[in-house]
Amino acid sequence: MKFKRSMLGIPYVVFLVIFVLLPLAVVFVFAFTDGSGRFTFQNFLGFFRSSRTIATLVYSLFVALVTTVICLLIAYPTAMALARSGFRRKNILLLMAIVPMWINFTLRVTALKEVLDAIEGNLAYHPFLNTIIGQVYDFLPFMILPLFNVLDEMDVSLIEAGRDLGADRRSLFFSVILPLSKPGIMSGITMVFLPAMTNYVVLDMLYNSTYIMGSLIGSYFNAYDWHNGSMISAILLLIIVLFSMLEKKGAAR
Amino acid sequence: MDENILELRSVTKSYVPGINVIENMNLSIRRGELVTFLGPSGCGKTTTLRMIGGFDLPDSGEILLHGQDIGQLPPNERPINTVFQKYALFPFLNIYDNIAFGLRQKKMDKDLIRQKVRHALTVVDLEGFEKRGIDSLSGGQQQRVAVARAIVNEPEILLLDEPLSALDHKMRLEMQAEIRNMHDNLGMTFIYVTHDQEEAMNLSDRIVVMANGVIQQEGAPEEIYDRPANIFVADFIGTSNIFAGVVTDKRRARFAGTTFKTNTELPAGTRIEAVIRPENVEITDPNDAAITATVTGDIYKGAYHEITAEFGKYEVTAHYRRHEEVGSQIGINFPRDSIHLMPHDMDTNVFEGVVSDDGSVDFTYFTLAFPADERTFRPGDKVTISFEPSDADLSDDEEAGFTRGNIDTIIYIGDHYTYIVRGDNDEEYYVDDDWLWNMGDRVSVVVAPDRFRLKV
Repeated sequence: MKFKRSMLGIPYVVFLVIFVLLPLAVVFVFAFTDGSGRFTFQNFLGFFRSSRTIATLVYSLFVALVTTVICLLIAYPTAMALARSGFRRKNILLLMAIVPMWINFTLRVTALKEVLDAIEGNLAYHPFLNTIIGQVYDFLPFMILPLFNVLDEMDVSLIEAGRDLGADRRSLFFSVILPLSKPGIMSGITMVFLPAMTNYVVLDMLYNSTYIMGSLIGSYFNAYDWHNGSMISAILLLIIVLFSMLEKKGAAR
Repeated sequence: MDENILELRSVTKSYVPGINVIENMNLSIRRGELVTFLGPSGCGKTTTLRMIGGFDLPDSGEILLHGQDIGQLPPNERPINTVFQKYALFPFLNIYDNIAFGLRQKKMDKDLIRQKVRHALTVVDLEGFEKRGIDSLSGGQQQRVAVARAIVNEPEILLLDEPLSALDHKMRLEMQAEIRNMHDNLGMTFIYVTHDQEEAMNLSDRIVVMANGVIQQEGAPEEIYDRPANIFVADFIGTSNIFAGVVTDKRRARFAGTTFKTNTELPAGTRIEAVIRPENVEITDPNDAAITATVTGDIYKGAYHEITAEFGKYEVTAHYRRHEEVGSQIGINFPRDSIHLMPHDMDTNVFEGVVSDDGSVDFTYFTLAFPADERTFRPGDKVTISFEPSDADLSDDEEAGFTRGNIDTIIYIGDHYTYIVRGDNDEEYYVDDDWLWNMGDRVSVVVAPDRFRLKV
């Protein structure tokens, strides 16, 4: 058989089919069927009718939103400082901001738990605050990295053009630098917001008993309710698709 | 109309301590002028422009706008706008918003902004393009938007930093004519930076030729071309035949192995370089000419043939309307009016040093030791040393010479090359050498001990 370049894609296609497309198909089949295997919308109707599941969705969105905003507020100045620092030290500084990502996740949250426990006395007093701290701690590098990239590669002549045309420091930031960093902000948000909606391990480990979307899936699956668990997964998938469409639209502008 | 709008006084700038990019620069620019800074890359022309724009601040000296020192003001506080080399248009704004950017910073009334942007678009011939994104424009159109964005603010001075370098040749010629027209219609002062001497010739009221951070000559294009001040200018502007020589007596000079009648007023004995433009070299029958030469090359250039010919150890380039067979004998004449003589710059290769305790002399950039019996100085004495470029040679053996550096400038002088070697501390050595070296070559400078002139 003659070698073609397209054959290099075969391993990934196999992977894609077995571990992505097939499971996705299973999720959708289960999401739209009941216990006896009949097609139904009942799972979805149930989700939107139950105040408990809607409350979970709202809580998840809220946790993700607060996490994302705080990450952005911390990451933007950090990335700016990193990008503007002297040429040689820059990558070492960036490394210092990124290295926490390489430490095992469970280990990091366990360590955080001990610290918070020592400060607060009892973790149960501030479940929401602890959750946000844990989430921000976990996701911050994912926000810093895309922001650093976009700020680091920013065309200096555009900033000079802004100053040349009379922009003071404030105006320069809001009408030149911020619009130019939009692609970085958008990808930072996708890297943080969506995982933050489902990352229930942080909540579990920090003794926050409130459910988020991820914990909901877990609880259904633990109870062998494949249909409702798949339904929640399908809803999350829908949110992701909506979100990335919005992002594309924002980037195209 | 003859008042100076901008004056640079003793402006000095360095990025690395000890190495001046701009050295003690003095320059006046008149209101309404179109001045071009011309020079090879690294000559300091862009740095000068950036200091006028406020993107770089001078280390010392003053930049006066209407007599007020603006040298330390940030760009946004200067009534000066810039057209950047790669346009620097804001990709997230459409054309209208790009042009309106500067006016909005001034919090101008919306209707007035609309009116001014429309007018600016008319000036650059882009009416109806308001809503287009900048990605949809060609390079030439982006260039026009960049110009419109700058002139809409009605600056006192418009700076243009090699604005046409990204365009193809034909487009460049068109834009040159348009920029010149725009300048004449707006009556604004333009300062233009380019390394393209043809562009400078086409555009400018006045050209400022720069090399190594120093102004070599300033003047109208014809003046720069016909009467270059030194070999840098002669070599950089157009093609030149340059010969080293000497004024022999009144109105006569000897160079290229021949004595020529010239229009010089220089006293006899003055060392000179003679410049003759290729288009002024006459090719005649060998019997009617001062010089008989052998044709070594003929390149057809469309409007003329570029003939190269050799005589003795010299080479000459001429523009000629006819083909000449390689190897044939031709006569060469340099008409009296086309010979331009430049006094030889004697101020080269002079170094000051201090005698140290062991009898060697520290010249800051290098140290020389002298045999004990030749020493006419004592420790602590100040010594000046100099040598002629013709007494120095280049070697690729770094240990062969008394100092080292890299080839920075190459100028062909009739029968040899004059090199400027830039030492490791930015000092310059002038060396004549028969061999062709390359730009940037690492060399050492060799001078025979008895060719140094020493003054205590």
